[in-house]
Amino acid sequence: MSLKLAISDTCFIIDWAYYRRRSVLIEIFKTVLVPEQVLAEIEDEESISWVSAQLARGNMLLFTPSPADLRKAEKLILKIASKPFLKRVDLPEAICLVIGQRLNAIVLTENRGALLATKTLNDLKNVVVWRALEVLTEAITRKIIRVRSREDVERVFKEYEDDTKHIFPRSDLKHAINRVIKCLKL
Amino acid sequence: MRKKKNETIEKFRREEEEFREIRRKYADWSFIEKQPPRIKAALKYYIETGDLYVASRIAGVSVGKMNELRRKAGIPNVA
Repeated sequence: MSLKLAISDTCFIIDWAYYRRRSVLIEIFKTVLVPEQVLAEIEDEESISWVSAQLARGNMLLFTPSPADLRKAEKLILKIASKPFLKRVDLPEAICLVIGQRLNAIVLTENRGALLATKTLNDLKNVVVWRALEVLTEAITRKIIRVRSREDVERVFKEYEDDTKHIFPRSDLKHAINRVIKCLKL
Repeated sequence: MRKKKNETIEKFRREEEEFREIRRKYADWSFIEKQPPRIKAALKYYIETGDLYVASRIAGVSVGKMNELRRKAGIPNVA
């Protein structure tokens, strides 16, 4: 069964589009919302052609934030900027956080500022943020990507790193691999 | 609760240092130095901060285009 809704930030989708198994995203979520401000930042051919195809098939949905969403996103940017222990977020990820909260959608982002904000700000404590690491973990544990051994699991994450020139934090990766192995009893 | 929050912030701060070093290590510095001033400055900013959005504004390109430049410069996205 697909999870209902996700909303994607630019930094997530422009990496994900280069992944050889990128279609698993569509199997995990029924709909992935793409805010207009995110779509406007996607320019490279690989990403824009894939996103356009998903929009045409209805797997992704162009989302226009309301004026209230934009006002909330601006307030969030300023709030985060006012706290020296947080890392700045910009309009696209702030919009994703605000809409993710309003629609109960999982926020797909690689932005560390957004990730830290959801872990430390009470206003955002109910917002769920997934990086590619969590998306891949979900895909493996739900057997959308089939694995038979620890080596297979490690290979899945390595393929993503190779395809996208992305490096998962080693401690988070180890935790994700162990979680998958425990869950699938490998 | 406060203790957990402080631990999260401290872990984040340590990771920022670690990830910056990884970006510096993998970057193709000869490619970066050959770029026009705005692109060169943007790639260096990205190496220091990991912030693709601001880097794209320094370069005067979209985030997608900036990500292409990041890949060409061999700089990993560590997240």
